[in-house]
Amino acid sequence: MGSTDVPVEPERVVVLDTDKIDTALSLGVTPVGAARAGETELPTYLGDLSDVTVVGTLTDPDLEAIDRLDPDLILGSKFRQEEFYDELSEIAPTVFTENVGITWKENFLLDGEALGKGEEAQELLEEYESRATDIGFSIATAAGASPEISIVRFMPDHIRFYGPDGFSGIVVGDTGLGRPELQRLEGADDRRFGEVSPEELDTVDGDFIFYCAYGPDGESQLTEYTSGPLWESMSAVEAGQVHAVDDEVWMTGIGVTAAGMILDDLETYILP
Amino acid sequence: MTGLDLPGRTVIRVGVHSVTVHRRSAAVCAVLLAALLAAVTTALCLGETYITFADALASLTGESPYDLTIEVLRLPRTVLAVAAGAALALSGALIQSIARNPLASPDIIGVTAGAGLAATLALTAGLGFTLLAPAALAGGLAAAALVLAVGSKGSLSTPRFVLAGIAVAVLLKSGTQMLLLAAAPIDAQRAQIWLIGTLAGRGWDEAAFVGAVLLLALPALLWAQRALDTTALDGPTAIGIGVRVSSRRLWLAVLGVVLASAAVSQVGSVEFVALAAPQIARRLTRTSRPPLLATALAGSVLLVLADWVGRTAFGDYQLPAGVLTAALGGAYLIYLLMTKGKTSAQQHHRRAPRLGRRDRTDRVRQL
Repeated sequence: MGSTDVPVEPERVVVLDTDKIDTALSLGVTPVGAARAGETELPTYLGDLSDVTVVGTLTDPDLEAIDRLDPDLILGSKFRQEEFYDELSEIAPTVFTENVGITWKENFLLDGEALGKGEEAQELLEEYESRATDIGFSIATAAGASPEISIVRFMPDHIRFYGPDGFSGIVVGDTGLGRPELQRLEGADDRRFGEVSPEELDTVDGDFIFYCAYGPDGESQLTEYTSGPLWESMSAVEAGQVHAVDDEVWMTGIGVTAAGMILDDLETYILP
Repeated sequence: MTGLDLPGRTVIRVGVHSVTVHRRSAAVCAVLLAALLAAVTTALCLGETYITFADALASLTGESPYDLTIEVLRLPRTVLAVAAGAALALSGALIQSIARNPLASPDIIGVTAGAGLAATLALTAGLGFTLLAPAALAGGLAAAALVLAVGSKGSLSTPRFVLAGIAVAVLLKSGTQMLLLAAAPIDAQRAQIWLIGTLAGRGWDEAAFVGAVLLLALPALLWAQRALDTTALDGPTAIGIGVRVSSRRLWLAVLGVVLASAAVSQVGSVEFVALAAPQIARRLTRTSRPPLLATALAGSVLLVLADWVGRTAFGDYQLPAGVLTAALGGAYLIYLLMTKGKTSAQQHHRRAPRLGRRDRTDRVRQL
């Protein structure tokens, strides 16, 4: 959306998307303000964010609150805040990334560049990628073959599995571990996630199942279905290889810190 | 030279020209204008940062430390609220008058639903923000064209018109719901905010568009004010005095539809302004149908206040203006319906305590 001159070392940064909170904190920059997702609060997996002022929601940022923080850089995404770009760029230099999720590594590098920490971002990403390869390698060596990882998420009104282009799918893909055939979404236009009917819940089986829930309504769905017979009939459940994980880390977080924590989960639960 | 004595009206003559002014309407317009100025001042001065009236004025006329807050963040959307509020209200007044039904409004006759469906389609199909308003405009006009085509088979003053509108609106709304359910949550959330109607992120471009449409419609509106006098009559009476009422009604409806589509395409489906503003104006002026100038002013006041309350009253959560137009307008209309009918009935009662039957007829007439 045009070119923007940004300060060399921005100090007062406002972030308008969840992945950018992760990005800023991963690079050691505590934002002065952040937008929260819908009705939920700021993510908790990044530690204490009590110094960060909440400036509205992702789709409806509070422009006056942002202005009052007197920022010197605003990071947002075109996908969510396109209509606010003109006003935001009057307040401070504003950098928008195009998309969310699929392009998280490019976004991380661009945002890192804007924060004046392009090199650190590059290093962090490389560190993460080599750690992912190492973990995948040790898991495959220990097991004798690459196990298939199933990712399931309970939404308030439906159940999803995640494909190779969703954030957690990309991270698992970076380890080189396998995915159940259904979850590879081969040939699909949108390979981020697919939906599974509650009547076919047993099709999300794998060698390991990682599952989480979006919001309190998703939690109640999770409780209902994970105690049902279809869930219990899956081989991974019978083998005790099914693990509840943090939705913020695996799904909404998005960023190099969240990716690292997904690797932690894989390590903890799979490596003997 | 003694002119015809018109109760409640004053005749102003300049040379050969004369204008009849309804005195109460003129007073109400003055009061509403003052209210609008007060609302705009409030919207400019009060917010996340408090800006004094003097500083706001300095920013508008020259420079002040608050230029960014006033000129970029508050003024554009406030001007847009004035323009869109007026356009919606005028549209409501026109449609209510020709349908001879206080419930008829662009929300009911399909304009809002058509614009909503088109906007939801644009948002969930991933079209950019630049295509959103044109899509909504086209959707609103197309839906209204369909309603007018179906409704004008008879007379626009018959229930057929309103029924056609409701049928089309319900159909389009169910289409919108289907799109929302199938959409990704974040797209659906953006579409929801649009469907409620918001001024957040809108600015001069949108205000200029609605303002230009209002300006272009001004001659037509001046004509409409007079044309409505006879158009509001029932069919046989109008034909009896020699007015070609059907084509007039159609043109007035088209004018109303264009105004509503223009406003809705820029601010989303802000509901209830079009329904409430004409009724508020009519009850304040105590005229038989909505006076256009007072209606436009009432609509502007309503939308400016709704936008201001929405962005200031609920902490870091900004409420879209559309939520509050319904709340504010609805509450005020209920208040008017409950109090105004009662007091005038009491006044009648005091004046003519023995005229029981006349009192009753009066009350029936007011209802």
